[in-house]
Amino acid sequence: MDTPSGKSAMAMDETDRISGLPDEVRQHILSFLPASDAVRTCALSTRWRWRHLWASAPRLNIDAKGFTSQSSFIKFVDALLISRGCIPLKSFWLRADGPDIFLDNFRDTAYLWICYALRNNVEELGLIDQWTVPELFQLHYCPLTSSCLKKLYLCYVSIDDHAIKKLFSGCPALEDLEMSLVTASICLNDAAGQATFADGCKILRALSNVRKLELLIPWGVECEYSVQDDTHLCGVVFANLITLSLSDWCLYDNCKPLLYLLEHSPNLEKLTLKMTQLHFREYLDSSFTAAAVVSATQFNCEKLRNVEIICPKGDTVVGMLLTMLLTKLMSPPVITIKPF
Amino acid sequence: MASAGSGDEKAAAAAMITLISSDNEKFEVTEATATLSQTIRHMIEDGCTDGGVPLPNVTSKILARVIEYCKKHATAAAGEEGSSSSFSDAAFLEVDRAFLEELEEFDDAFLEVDRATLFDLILAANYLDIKGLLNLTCQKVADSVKGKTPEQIREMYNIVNDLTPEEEAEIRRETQWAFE
Repeated sequence: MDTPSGKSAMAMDETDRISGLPDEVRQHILSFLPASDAVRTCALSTRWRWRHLWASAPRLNIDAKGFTSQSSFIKFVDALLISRGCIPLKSFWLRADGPDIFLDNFRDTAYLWICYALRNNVEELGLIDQWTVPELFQLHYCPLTSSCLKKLYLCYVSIDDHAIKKLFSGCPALEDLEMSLVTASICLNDAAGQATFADGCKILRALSNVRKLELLIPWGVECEYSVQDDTHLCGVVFANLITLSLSDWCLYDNCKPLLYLLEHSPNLEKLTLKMTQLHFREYLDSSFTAAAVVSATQFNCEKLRNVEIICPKGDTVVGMLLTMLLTKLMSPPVITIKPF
Repeated sequence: MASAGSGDEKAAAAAMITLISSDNEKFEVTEATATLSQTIRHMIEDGCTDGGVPLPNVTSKILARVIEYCKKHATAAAGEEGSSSSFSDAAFLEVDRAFLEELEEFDDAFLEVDRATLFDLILAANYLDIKGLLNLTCQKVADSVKGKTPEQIREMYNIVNDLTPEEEAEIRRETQWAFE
């Protein structure tokens, strides 16, 4: 109630609109900020300190950017979570993109942070490590169990198919799963460093209930396709799959993974194909021939309305892809091509 | 979502809704535009939009801007759902890409407003429950304070520091970990 007396006329002219916004709107603004910036707003005035506005914001974005050392980052996050206490969370993002800050170096601590989010009923969880790290963040041993988790976004983390199976049984509410992987993750790189198409399919099998799937392997599949593992594919139907994003690993061996997915995803509505730079997939272009187009069956993806192809300019594979999609699909969808 | 709704909804596809601003100006908009607001969508579902929808919290100046936003984004939503042209229509590919870029440019240009208008838009988006507009405007404010010290933010938004020196010291002590 007390009016600021000492301030000049400027404060009267230009009123403080931001502090006058409803609490939930200010919390919404804070949810777009990195946690470190959000916390510091408590020093603005009593309205921002009151009831710890930042702490009751339902979204936390923890970002290692700007931290100079791993120990200062860990200290910050530990203190942040303790101060925040047990307030329900909607979304929790952990981005380890600071220099020399690698989640796998303090894996157990990072697990505790993830468990904090799950315990506070988080619905959306995002974990992003760096793709240049010596060791990817291994999620295999993290107890990912929650009845609330709906969306999980994993980028450059490592998780094996066993952990994925546990994830699906432990998180019954999970609807969306997005994964951007490097070769070393999700068993696309087994003990011998040999990634096979069948390994990729093992994951797909574990994911058969997923509604939205993004499986990107920016570095491509590194080694030869092994035919004998075809059995892994048998009987997996992605009945719930509606949105699918794939990178060009799915073109391997005359598009076998892509064709398999199309054939076994009866409810697919949207397909996005993200091609990598041409020089990343020399292995692929040589193996990709029109032969795939000729071979028999047509697919009845009647709900597939949109296909988006993101590719480098002058990508010759795209023409082949178009021919193939049009020959294979009984009712051709709208195909959009976005060159970069 | 009620069972009776579907037939009526089709009939009302081209129906117009009248929105009435706080200063009594009337705006005619299509239902597709109006239903970007969850608040108005619920009113339509409840059948209480006859005779216009009074919006006592929104001035005509701000309402005009909000409608401009909704019109643009309603067209975008309709374009995504309704497009049935074949892939071979090269022109369509171009149009689609151009349209997304245009939408982005529209959003950027839309945010070129003075601060008072920005806050009015936030309040209107919150009241009318227009998720896209609320995110767009709140993001703009968030971007403006990102990486700034409390002193810089106070100066920027004319926030009066009503904390006593003791309180301020206490806050800094409690959250010292965030200020290092």
